[in-house]
Amino acid sequence: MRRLRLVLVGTLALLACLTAAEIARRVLDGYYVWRPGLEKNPWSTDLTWSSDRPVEALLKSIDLDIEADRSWFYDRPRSPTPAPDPSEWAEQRRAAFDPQANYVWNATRIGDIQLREYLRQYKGRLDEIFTFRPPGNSPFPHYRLYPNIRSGFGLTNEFGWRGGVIEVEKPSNVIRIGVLGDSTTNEYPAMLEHWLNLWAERRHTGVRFEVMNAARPATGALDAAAILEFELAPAGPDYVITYGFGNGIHVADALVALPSGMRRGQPAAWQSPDPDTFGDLSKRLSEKLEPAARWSAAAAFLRDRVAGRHGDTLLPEPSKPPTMLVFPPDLDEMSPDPDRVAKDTSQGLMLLETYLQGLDKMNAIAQARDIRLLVSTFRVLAFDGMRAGGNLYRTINQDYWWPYTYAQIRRLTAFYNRTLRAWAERRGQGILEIDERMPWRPELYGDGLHELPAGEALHAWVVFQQLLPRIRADLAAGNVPKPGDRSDWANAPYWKIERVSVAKILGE
Amino acid sequence: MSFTTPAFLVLFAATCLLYFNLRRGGQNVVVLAAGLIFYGWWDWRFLFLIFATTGADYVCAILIQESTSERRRTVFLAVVLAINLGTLGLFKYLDFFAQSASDLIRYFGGTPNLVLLHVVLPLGISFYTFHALSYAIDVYRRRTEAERNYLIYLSYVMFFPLLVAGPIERAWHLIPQFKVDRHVTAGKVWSGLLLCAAGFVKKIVIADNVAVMANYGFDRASATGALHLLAIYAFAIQIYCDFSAYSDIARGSARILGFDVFQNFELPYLTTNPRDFWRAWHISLSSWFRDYVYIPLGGNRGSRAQTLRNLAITMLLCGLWHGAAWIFVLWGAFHGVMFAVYDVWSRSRVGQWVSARRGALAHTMKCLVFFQFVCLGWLLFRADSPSQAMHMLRSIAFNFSPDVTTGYLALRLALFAVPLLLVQIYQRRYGMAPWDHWRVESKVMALCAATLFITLVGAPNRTQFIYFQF
Repeated sequence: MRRLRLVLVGTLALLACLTAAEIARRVLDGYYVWRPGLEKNPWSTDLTWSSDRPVEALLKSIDLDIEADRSWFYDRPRSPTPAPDPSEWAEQRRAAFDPQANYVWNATRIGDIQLREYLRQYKGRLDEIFTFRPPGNSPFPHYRLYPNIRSGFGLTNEFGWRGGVIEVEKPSNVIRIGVLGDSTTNEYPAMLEHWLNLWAERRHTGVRFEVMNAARPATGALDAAAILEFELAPAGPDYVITYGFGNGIHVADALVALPSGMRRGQPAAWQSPDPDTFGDLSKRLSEKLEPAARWSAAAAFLRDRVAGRHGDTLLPEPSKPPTMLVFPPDLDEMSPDPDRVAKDTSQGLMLLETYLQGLDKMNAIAQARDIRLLVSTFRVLAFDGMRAGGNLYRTINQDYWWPYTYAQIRRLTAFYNRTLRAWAERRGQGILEIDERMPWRPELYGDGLHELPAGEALHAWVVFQQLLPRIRADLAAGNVPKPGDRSDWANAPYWKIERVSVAKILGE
Repeated sequence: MSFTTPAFLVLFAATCLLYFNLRRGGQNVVVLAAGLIFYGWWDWRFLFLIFATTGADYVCAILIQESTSERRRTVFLAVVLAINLGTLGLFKYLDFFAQSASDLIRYFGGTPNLVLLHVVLPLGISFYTFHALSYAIDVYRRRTEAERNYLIYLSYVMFFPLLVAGPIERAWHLIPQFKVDRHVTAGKVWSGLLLCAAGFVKKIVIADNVAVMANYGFDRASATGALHLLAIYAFAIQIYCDFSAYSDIARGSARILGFDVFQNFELPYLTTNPRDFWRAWHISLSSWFRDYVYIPLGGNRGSRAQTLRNLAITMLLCGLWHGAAWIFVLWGAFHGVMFAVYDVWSRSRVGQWVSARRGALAHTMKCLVFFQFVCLGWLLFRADSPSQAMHMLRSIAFNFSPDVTTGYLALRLALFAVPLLLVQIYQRRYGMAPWDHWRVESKVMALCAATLFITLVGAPNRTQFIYFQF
C-alpha cells in the first residue's frame, strides 16, 4: 500500500513539475501558455539579444576624454527626417532587386563587365539605371547612392550621403567632418555627430557639427579619394576620417606561402567542424525529441539544447594545415616603410599598395584644401585563443582567411596598421586608433570585419574620445571652423543624374 | 573553475571518491589537491601568489604567538596586514586610485603622467585575503592558536568550496575541523546534496534567466521607466539568487565532505530595516567587517555621532571591498546613509509607532517598503556609472509609461519571483533547511524535481557568478 502511494505521489509530482516546466518554458520562449500547440505570442520580446549590452558593459574600458560624459553614450541620435517624397519607387526597386538597383553609376563604368553581368542577371526587370559623369571622365568613384531616398543603407540626403540635410553654404559656426569608408562604415558617423553636438552644447563652445557620411559599400581607397575630391571637399570639411578599405586585407600571398594545390579561402580537402552540428548522438537524440517538440516548448528547448542550437556554441580555432608567415627581407614587419609598401608589385601584400595610393591622393587634396585627414587603423577580429561561432567562425576559418591561423591574421593586421601609422606620420596626417582601442569581443563583430550595431556604437565612442582633444586644440588655435567654399558646388554637373536604358547598355 | 561547469562535477565526484576511502590525513591532502586544481583551472600561475602570501602569513602568525613583547607582536601583525592588503591593493585598487588621481589632476588642468598597470585581478583575491587577515588578527588577539602545520593552514585558505566567493570563514571555526575526524553521516550527505541542488536551481534556473531581463532593461537607455524598474527588481533577484546559490553550493559540498561552514544568507529580502538586512545578507562579510573594522573603530560604544561615523566608514570600506570603482563606494555610502536615516527614523515617534505594528500585513508592508530602498542600492551597484543610475531614476519618475511588453516582462519576472518568495516564506516558518526533516522519498523527489527544472527551465547561457569579480 505504501509503495503504491509512493508511486502515485511520485507520478503526480512528476506531472506537476513537467507542467510547471512547460508553462515556464512557454513564457520564457514567448509562446502562448494556454494554447494546445506551440504558437508564438506577438507581445513577447526576445530578451536574449540586446544590441547595446556588450557595448555598455565595455564602455569603462575606453579612456574617457576630460570633457566627455559617459552618460552621453546612452543618448542616441534620432533618425533624420525622411525626404518629402518617400520615393516609393526606390523602395520597390530595392525590394525587387537589391540596394544596387538604386545606385547612381559612374557613366564611364557602364561598360564594366561586373555591371553588365549584374544587369544581365536582372534582364527584363530593370529597365533603366542611373548614371553621373565625374570631371575628366574619372573612373572613380564607381557609384553614388541615390539622393533623398530610403535605400538599403538608410536615408540619404540630397547628395546621396547617409544622414541629414546640410546647407550648401557652410555656416560660419559649423565644423564639418567628412567620413570615407566602405561597408564597414554604417551608423557610427551619425552617433559621432550627435555626441559631438552634445559636447559642443554642454561645453558652450558656440559651434555645431555636421558629419557627412559619404561611405559606401564595396569601394576602395581610390574611390574614396575621388569622393573626397568631387563630393566632400567642395562642402568645406574641417576634418575627414577614413576607415575600412580592407577588402583585400586577406590577400597576403606574398607573406604566407601555401602548400601546392592549396588555395586561400578554399578549404576543399579540409573538413571544418560546423558550429551548428554536434555529432551523431546529439542528432539522433534531437530527432527523437522532434515529435514532442511540435507541441511542447520544454521538448523543443531540450531538442535545441541537445542539437547545440541554444546557448554558447563558440568554438576554438580548428586545426589548419601548417603555413609560415615570412616577411620579405626588405620589408620590416615592425617598422614598415610606407613608400616601399606603396611600390609593391606582388599583389599579395594585403593590397596595401592600392590603399596607400588612394591615401596619397587624399593627402594631396587635403593639403590643397586645408583639410585635416584622420586615417583609422583597421580591426580584423582574430587573435590566438579566440572562440568564435556562426558567421564569424565561418568567415575567419573558411570564406576568406583559410588556412591562415588566428595568430597570423592578428600579425598581418598589426602590420597593416603599422603601415598606416607610418604613412600618417610621414605625411603629417592624423591617426585614429580603432584596432588598439576596440575591445576584443566576438559579439561586436558579424564576420570579423563588419561591426554589429553594438560594435558600431563603441566604434563611434572610440572615435569621439580621440577627436575631442584634437578639436579642442584646433578650436583654441582658431583653425576650425574654416570658411566654406562659396562657389555653387551643389549645382556642379557632377551631381546631375541621368537615366540610361538597360537595353542600350547591353547593346540590344 | 566554476560550480556550474561539468569540470567541477567531475572534480567533486573524484574528490568524494578518494575522500571517503581515506583517513583524516589523506582526506586533508585530497581536499587541498582539489583546491589547487579548482583554482589552478582558472590560472595556475596565481597559485604561486597564494603560496607566497600564505607562507608569509603562516610564519608571521607563529611569530606573533611566540613573541613575548607586545611591540613585536604588533610589528608582525603589521607585516601580515601590509603583505595581504598590499597584495590586494596592488592587484585590485592600484589602477583605480591611479586613474582617479589622474582624473583629478586633469580636472584641475594638470597633465597627469601616471602609469596604469592593467594587471589581471586574481580570482577570489578579496575572499582569500580576508580569510588570511582574520586568521592573523585572531592569532594576535589570542582568539585562536597559530597553526603549526602549513598544509592545514594552506588547506584552510584553499578550501575549494569557499576559495573564490566565500562564505568568508574564520580560522577558529574551520581550522579545527581539519584536525578532527569528520563524521560524514547519511543525513549530512542528503543535507549537502539538497543544499547544492537548491543552489544550482537558484543559479541556473532563476539567476541566469532573470539576468537576461536585468540586462535588457539596464542596457536600454531609451526604455521606459516601467522597464527600468523591472530591470532593477530583476537584478535584485538575480544578485540574491546568484550569490546565495554560490554560498549554498559551497556549504552543500563542504557538508558532504563533513565540514560545517558559516551560513551566508538568511532571507535578506524579508527584512524590514538596514540592520536586519546586513544580518541576513552576506553574513560572513558583514560579520567580518563588524569584528575587524566596526568594533575596533569603537562600534556603538561612543556617542550616536561616533557610532554613525563608525558605521559610515565600515560601509564605505564594505562598498570598496566589492569593487575598485566609485559606484561601489557610492553603494557603500548609500547603505551607510540608510543606517543613519534608520537610526533617526527608529527614534522618531512615527518610526516607533510603525515598529510597534505587528502582524503579517504590517510586516509585509514594511518588507515591501524596505525592499524599495534595497533596490535603490542595487541600482547603484549594477549601473555602469552614477549618471546611468540617475538617468534610470529620472525615467522611472517622469517617463514610467507601462505597456504590454513591460506587462509581459513582469509576468516573466513573476514566474521566478513568486515561487522564490513562497519558498522563502516556507523557510521563514520552518527553518532555513526544512528538507533536513523530510523523509528520504521526499528528498529523492526534490532532487529529481531540481534536475528536471535545471534541464528544462535552466537558462541556455551560463553567466559567471557575479561575486567572482570581487
